[in-house]
Amino acid sequence: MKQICNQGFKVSNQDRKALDHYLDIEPKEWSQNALNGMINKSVKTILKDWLNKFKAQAETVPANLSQLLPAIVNMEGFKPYNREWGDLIKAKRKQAKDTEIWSGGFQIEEWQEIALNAYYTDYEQDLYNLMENKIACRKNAFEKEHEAKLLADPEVSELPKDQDDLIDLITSKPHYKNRKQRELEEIN
Amino acid sequence: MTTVNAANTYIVPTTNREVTAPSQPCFLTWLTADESNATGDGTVATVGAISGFTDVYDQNNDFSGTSFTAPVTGRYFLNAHVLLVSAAAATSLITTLVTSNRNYTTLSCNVNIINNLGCSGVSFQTNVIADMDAADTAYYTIVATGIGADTAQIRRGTTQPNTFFSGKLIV
Repeated sequence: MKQICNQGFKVSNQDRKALDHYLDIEPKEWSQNALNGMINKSVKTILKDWLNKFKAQAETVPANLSQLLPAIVNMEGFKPYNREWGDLIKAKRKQAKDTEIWSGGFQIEEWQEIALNAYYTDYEQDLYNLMENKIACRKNAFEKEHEAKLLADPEVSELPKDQDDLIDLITSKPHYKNRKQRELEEIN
Repeated sequence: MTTVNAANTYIVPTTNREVTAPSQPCFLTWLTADESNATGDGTVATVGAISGFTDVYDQNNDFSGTSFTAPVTGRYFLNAHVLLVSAAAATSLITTLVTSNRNYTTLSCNVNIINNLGCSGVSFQTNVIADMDAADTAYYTIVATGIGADTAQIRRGTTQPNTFFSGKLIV
């Protein structure tokens, strides 16, 4: 097993509030799911593109991924994909990122790392970038969702100009509930 | 003519002027086997958790286990269908298409009425064009209550898919 993304990931207070407004799982679990998706994509793509070529070269074909994947990646003629996640965005933020959301990183098997390295240019950086993109997307969605409500509210005379200020304004209202709280209320 | 970037041929007009997109995220996956004793006493069963899914196609390699992982931020058409049998005594059934940003839920009460009509099972389908951010996931769950034990079965379908999950990137 290998530990990856050991640096962890820190977010600002408003980043966390925007995530909690939409996610019913912890950010670390979201990132673990993202990592699982990356591993799957690497493995499936490599097998789809290279398994038949490997069969043509190899004397025997291992029936488990922990042996098959390294063998394919090491075969003559294999070319790494050097993929990157495209079109990712960065969050706007006023405050420092001082809240840890996934300390300790994640564990992956050696053959999974071989698959990730064969498919992505820098899979660890991609995982950080995906978390940052998720925060940016949710902050933008939060702003869009609540700006529309504020515009329809006759008691509101001024819109916050800054995204973080808007998040603070909405989440400090007495009846505000994040997704977990909303779903708990629905069950009860 | 084909339209390409560094990695893919992504738009392919054919000689007969159809247009295909071989790398566009698009999948259809079918439950691998019947999933017995999945739910009935309030247990939330993730569809595919017991037997897994078998791809009919997954042309951008985005589906694994029970989940679809969005490869890019966008709007995705998702369609999940489940057939539950041995659920005659169920008093309620809830299916949920779980996505990272929100859940899409159907609720059916008094399932006995449906079974008393002579049906062998109850099926549910959820369709949505969901907003998903890059690396968000989607999967399907079902929970039956009132049976007294987890004896309801999620039916695969032998020659025709009864329980399946499909989706594609729209925009």
